[in-house]
Amino acid sequence: MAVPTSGFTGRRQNRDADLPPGQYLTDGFPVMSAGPTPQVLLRDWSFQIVAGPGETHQWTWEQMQALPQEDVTTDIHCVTHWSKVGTTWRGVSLDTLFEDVESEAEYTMVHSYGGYTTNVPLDDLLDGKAWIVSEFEGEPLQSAHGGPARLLVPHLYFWKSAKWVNGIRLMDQDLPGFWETNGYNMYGDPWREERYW
Amino acid sequence: MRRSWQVAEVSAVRAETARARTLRLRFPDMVAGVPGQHVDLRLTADDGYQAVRSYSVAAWVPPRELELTVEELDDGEVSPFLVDVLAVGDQLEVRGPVGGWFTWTPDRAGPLQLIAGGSGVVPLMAMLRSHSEARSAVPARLLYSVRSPDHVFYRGELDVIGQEDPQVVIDIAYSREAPDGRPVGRLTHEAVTASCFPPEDEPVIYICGSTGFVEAVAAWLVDDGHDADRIRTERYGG
Amino acid sequence: MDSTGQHPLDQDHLDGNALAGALDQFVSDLTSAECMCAGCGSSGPLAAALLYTKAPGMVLRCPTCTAVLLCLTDQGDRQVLTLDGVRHLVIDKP
Repeated sequence: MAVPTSGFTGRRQNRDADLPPGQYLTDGFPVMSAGPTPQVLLRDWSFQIVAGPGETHQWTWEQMQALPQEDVTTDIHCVTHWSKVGTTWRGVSLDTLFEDVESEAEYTMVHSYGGYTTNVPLDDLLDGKAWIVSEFEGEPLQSAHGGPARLLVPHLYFWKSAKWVNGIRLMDQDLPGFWETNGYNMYGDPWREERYW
Repeated sequence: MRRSWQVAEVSAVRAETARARTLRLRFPDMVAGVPGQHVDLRLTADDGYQAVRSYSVAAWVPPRELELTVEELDDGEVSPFLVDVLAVGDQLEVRGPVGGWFTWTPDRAGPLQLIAGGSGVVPLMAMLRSHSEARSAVPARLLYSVRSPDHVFYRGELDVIGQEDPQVVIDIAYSREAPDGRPVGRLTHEAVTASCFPPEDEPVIYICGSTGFVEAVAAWLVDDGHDADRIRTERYGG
Repeated sequence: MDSTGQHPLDQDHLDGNALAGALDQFVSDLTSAECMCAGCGSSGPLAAALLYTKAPGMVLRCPTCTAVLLCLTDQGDRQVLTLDGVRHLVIDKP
């Protein structure tokens, strides 16, 4: 049993009734990083959706910026127990990117520069639930926070919102990505506190 | 080595600088380890929230005590508590001492070269103290890079060791503000080369500091011809 | 298993339980163990690899090719250690 440390509170505010279980509010934006930060030049950047053999949809940075951009205000919940409320982002809805994609697949693997992966069911990326964002709080997204562009799937724990995203591959079955291989939940709903296996 | 958490009591505290202090911890049983090792501290709030941090051991005080030196980080969650709040008689959960790589004992062959950036001096101080206590005949040098005279840890003790131990040379480099007559400026490759044992002496080298400091100094030393296998590093992040 | 319901090699193997004594030595300092990266084949002590801790788990990467060597995550009442990127560990006896 842990022994309480007299006078220690930690840097967090009180639990907020509006947060998922086990979460604490933070004012900052902690930088989470499991490896070196990839430095990606915009002229080299691309994003692709691989829907099956011979069906790849690809966008350059300019093509992505030319698509309709949406402003998103949302709360985010990191599995390491911090939450941040009312964050603002700008980017392209995945509904826009999947408009011309034909597939029967139900699952996806999200890929990033640097080799990170995370799995998300396709339904959780569609119907206004996910975006490829390139701005945070009105500024270009910093590389430490996933810039040039990251996935934003705010209804799942934030490890699903892959930093430095560069592609989504459709899958017939649900396979684990990086953290899902290393002890974390295949789905990751913060309101049901689906943190671990 | 102990594998589980045990409760230690703060038996003394001592200011090192305006933002750093040394904590002496007393254990229920004997505690032993080697210079360069660290311990993990676990802090638990009333509601069960926990934070775990690693701190290098600065001194061994047999049979039941050891000392850590903690510097307050601007954005720290744990270090401000350890530096400003924790008091003598308070209890902390401790795991360790642990670590077998970044360690030095007086039986290790070769001159001892220690290079510290800021609070990276802590584990190197444990090595230097061990060197002095063993009255080691091995030549030792400490190159200690700090921002200003006000940022030097263990000032009095370093002066004494430097003056009284003929085997030890202590060289303090100041990056922002220096005492009268001492150069000031960022540590350079030339200054490191000049202060350290040359490669032909085959020193064992320990570097501890911020990630940037450690990377730069280690690269210079390899460049100078030091064997990378004789260089051991510890980054404290940042 | 074969048609008799027996393990085919049952004359030749022991229970994994018999490994307990040999594995017990691993509780000495494992960070000094020499680790070969399964990705690039380079070797070095775990203590000299790159450790990333500002993450949901502790991720150790190869200092030569930055591939993930091992990952340790804390689930509160248990820990998960994956060693996908480790080809072998050479561990000195205490």
